Amino acid sequence: MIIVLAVIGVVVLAFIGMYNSLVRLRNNVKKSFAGIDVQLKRRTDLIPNLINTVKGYAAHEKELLESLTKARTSIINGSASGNVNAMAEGENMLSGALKSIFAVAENYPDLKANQNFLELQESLEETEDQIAASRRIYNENVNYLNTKIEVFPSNLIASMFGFTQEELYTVVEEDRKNVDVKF
Amino acid sequence: MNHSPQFSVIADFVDQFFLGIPVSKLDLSKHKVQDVDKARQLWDPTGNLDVDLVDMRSAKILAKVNFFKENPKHASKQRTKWTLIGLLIGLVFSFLSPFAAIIGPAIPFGLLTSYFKNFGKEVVKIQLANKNNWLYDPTPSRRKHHLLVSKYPQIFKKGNQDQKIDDQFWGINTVHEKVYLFNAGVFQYSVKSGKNNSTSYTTHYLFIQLQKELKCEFLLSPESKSIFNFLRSKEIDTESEEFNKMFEFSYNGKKDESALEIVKSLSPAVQTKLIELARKKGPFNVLFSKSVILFLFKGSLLRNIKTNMFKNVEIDAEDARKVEEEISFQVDLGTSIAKYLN
Repeated sequence: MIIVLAVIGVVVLAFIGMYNSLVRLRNNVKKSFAGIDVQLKRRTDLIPNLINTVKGYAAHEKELLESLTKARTSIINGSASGNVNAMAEGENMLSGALKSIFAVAENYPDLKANQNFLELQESLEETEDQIAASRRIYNENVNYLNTKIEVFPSNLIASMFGFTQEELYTVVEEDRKNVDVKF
Repeated sequence: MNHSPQFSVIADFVDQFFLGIPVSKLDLSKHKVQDVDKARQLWDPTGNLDVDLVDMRSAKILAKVNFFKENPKHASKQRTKWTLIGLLIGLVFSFLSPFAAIIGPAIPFGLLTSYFKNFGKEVVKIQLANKNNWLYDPTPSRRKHHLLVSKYPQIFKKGNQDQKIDDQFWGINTVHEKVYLFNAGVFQYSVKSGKNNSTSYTTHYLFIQLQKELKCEFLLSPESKSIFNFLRSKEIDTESEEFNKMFEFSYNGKKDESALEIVKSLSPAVQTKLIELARKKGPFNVLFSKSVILFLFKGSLLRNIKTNMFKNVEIDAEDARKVEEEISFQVDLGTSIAKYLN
């Protein structure tokens, strides 16, 4: 009788443990996704200021400034939809546009020396690092959750309580390369 | 700063008596830090750093290297001399035990071999310090430990005997055009349990000075491994599953206020850097306190040094690379964390 009770006790404890761990992992995925969102918002908030500063020195780089505005809008829309792919797409666009702006700035010494521009560049670089870190954390959390949902015996509990696999946040490899700016 | 003079006195006696090095005649002036003014800008977490004294100690070691270079056979001559003396003493006492004839020469041979091995390590570290414009103190200090315990007891109040600080580096590291001051060293201590039992521990630490003061003081330590971990909920969780598995928090003050400040300080970039550091160095403690981050890692700073001052009075290239890689890695990663806290 004692042995039976002990076995039941262990099974119940294991069940609680696995369920709690799935809940924790799912919450961490949500939390880390919100973390990416916060950092992306921080970056998009810096864009209008950057556009105004660049306009003052390189007003005729219209195409570039427009692409920056478009990318910003895309990322805001992606964030509002809460869709991982839409956000990643917006982020890719914005990263590309920002790289172009900083590459072009090399040709405008006054702009490059502007204190506001330098501070914005520093803030954007730091935000870029935070976004990359948030993305890494999110993807690790998704990997933990997806593995837990797939492996036995936690897959039984996952299917019982409707835990579903989450999508990874991927950045297109092409956008990581340096942008080639032509004049 | 008083750096436990007993260590220097003993070292000088060993050099003079056993190794036949004319300590008082060594020319230290040639080996002093070139840019003393720059060295004076270095920072120590206790607020006590006597650049001239520390520099003099490194200079003494470099002067000894110079002496061995000028007298290449001196080291092996001394070893042979003391081994023979040991053999004679052993033979005299062999009537007590036949082993005396073996132990007699083995003791001086072993001691001198070990001395030169340690000497080689010191030289590798001094050269690394010189290359990077850092300052290095080869002399252990008990006083520094006392000072650190009074300021950072969470990290340095360990052991109940033989606590000392050794192998200290002071330097400047630049990350993205921002300058960070650091102090690294080895912290050794023993725990005496019972009459004759004592266990020795070696750890190494790294202090990095921040450019602003943190609003909350907290300690991250390796997460305790327990089979019941899955049942307990942690007081503070970050968004990273891996980070939460690696570290647990301790702090002073009210939970709500502290948790907010801790989570603010541990931005995603800081978390991923700490994870990277833990993957490379294994579990470690890190204290965020006022304008300082303090890391405490297990084990000694350097292992498996191949430099052999008996064979060749030169540093092994592999040693130099390993030492530089090890110290630079933790300094670079530590300071890059500081960047996100400023």
